[in-house]
Amino acid sequence: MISRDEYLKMPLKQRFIQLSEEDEARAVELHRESLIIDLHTHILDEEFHANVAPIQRSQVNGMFEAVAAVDEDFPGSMTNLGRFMKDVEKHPDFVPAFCAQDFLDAKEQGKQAVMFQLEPQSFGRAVDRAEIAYGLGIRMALLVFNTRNYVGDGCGERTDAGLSYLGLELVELMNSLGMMIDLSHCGIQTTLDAIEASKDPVLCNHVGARALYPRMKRLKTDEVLKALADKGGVAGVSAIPNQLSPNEEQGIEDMLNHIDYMVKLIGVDHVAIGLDIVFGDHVEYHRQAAKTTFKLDYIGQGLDAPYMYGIESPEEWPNITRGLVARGYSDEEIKKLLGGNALRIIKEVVG
Amino acid sequence: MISREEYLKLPMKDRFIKLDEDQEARAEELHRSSLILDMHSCMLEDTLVHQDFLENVPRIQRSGIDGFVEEIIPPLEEFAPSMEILGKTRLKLEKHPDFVVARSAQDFIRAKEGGKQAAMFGMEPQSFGRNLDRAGIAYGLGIRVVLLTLNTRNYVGDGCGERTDAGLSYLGLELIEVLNELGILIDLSHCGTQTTLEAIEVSRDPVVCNHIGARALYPELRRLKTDEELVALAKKGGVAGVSAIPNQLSRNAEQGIEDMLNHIDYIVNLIGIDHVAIGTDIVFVDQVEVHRQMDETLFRVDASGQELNAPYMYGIESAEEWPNITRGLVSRGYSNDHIRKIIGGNALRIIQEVVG
Repeated sequence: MISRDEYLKMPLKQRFIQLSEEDEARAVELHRESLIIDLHTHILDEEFHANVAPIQRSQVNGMFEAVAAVDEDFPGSMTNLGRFMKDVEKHPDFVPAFCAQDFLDAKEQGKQAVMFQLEPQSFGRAVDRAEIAYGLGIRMALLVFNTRNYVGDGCGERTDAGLSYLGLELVELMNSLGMMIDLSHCGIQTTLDAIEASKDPVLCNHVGARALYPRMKRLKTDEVLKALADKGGVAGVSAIPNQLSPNEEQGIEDMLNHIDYMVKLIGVDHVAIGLDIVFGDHVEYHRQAAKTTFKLDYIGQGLDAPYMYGIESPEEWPNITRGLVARGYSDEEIKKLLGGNALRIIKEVVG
Repeated sequence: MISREEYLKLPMKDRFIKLDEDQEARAEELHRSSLILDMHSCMLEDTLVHQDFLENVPRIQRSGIDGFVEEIIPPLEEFAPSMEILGKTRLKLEKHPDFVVARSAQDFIRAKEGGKQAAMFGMEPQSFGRNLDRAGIAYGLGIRVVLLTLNTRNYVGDGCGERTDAGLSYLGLELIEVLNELGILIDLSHCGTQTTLEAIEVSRDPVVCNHIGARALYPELRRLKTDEELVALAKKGGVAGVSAIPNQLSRNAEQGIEDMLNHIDYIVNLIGIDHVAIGTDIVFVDQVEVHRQMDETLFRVDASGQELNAPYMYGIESAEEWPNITRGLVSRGYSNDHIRKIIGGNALRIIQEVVG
């Protein structure tokens, strides 16, 4: 197997799924005309200006950029938000998004829209800070990362305790603000409690199906996925190396397997895409933060595959559309998966 | 029943337990000569409530106690604000000729010898967030006792008023190791049962529950410790401090020193005379009114099973009634040796062992 460096030197058409001439045309057309929203990205960093070209080649119309708040430091996370927002506002080809219509307007204008989420929420005990965050532009927040915080337990924690009383308050506050709630990193009980407690539908915006890789705690069980869908929620499938499969070679086919499974389990209206794509070496990042931020041991993750064949970089985004075509999805289904479902829930919760 | 205001106007002898002449002399002598430590007080706290230190100094002095562990309550459990409060509070004591700051057991002994009162500092609860390095900073700034949680959940465990009783998180296990390493005394008074049991189990040093009572005497109140917790605590050398908090020892409309003594009796009976101390949580303001106002935010009175039936604690409402504890122990038939252990000896021993 070639190295990541060598892989990224390959021409795109060699990294892409092979399609018949007819399917090729269909995939290209679908990718161009659909409203495409990636529900979880990390594309804004110090290298943003160097990365603009590949972001544009992805042809994604909207990205839900995650402001990482690893230490749950509120002032620090708002500073980062400000910095990211400035980069977006200053670039002629990007616009910030604060509501569903902003995504549609951006597509019409040939620009890419960026909406912002907090990963995870950094409000501490003062959950009222959610109001400040909303005022500064945050439209979605993860309740917990992989460990415990004031509101719940993460999927990599020693216990699976569910929401605390403060957690119930935060859910209520986010509902009243129209801020989307994401449960991607929460433990099972916390996920179920939040689905139950929230008046609005909620999301797991960068996950996969636990049934396909049982020891990986970042993936959602059938029970959780069904509860999510029953209340109108949406699950975004990720492309995170070593979180969809334990195999040494992983890629777009694994992602498509998870999409297939979830569509079959909860229906095509409740599945979307949230890649968690980064520009750097994602696996190396996990390796370095294995014991601190990510607690890889506790979530059951290995570091076997060095990258995701076919969906390693944002410019391989069209490969998802190609893969859905190859797997026999209809145009209507593909449009829902690529962005229709994401737009619907954004409109319903945020407005 | 008279109001709290009227009660506080009563002369001390009307608030004190009645003793015969011999007992009276004995109680006075014991109170004067023993090293007396209150393991948990909020007499200087001036952020959540208003308490004027200089105004209250005469009352603190009339208490006759030699030392106390004064609690710093971090706003929103945040670190930077809590260090500011610590700094301001320490300054008040350092500037007063009759008080000293205690950073070790010896400081209490020296203070008594010098006719002064010593304050050691606790943090209620720890405000380190995810960054356990802050424990070392807090130690450097004078903190020697730390509560793991208050009544709700935080990064390290669940409080006794929380929806769940989940026990310690991984970070909680790490924090205990850090505190053991630093020589900071761990207090579990507000933790849920599972968190309490796990912390007792995991800590290399003995730990304390320094302002509690016995759950057996008031089963609905989750601030009190079960027999299981008390036995586990004592087995590993820990100490249980009995509090004088209104409505946290009993649900009666009239409560006071006798309720506190009932809890002392019960716990001594259960775990032995070497593992019981006093942690009154005494304040100068209307504590019941404070509980009433902070119900939803800080205390979650409902969730922890507390009812606000009594307006004050007859016989142990103010710091100057502290001698009434010694009087009460005399009236209940404890020996001199045992009384000395309860009113300070056991507290000093565990501070010596853990803090140094």
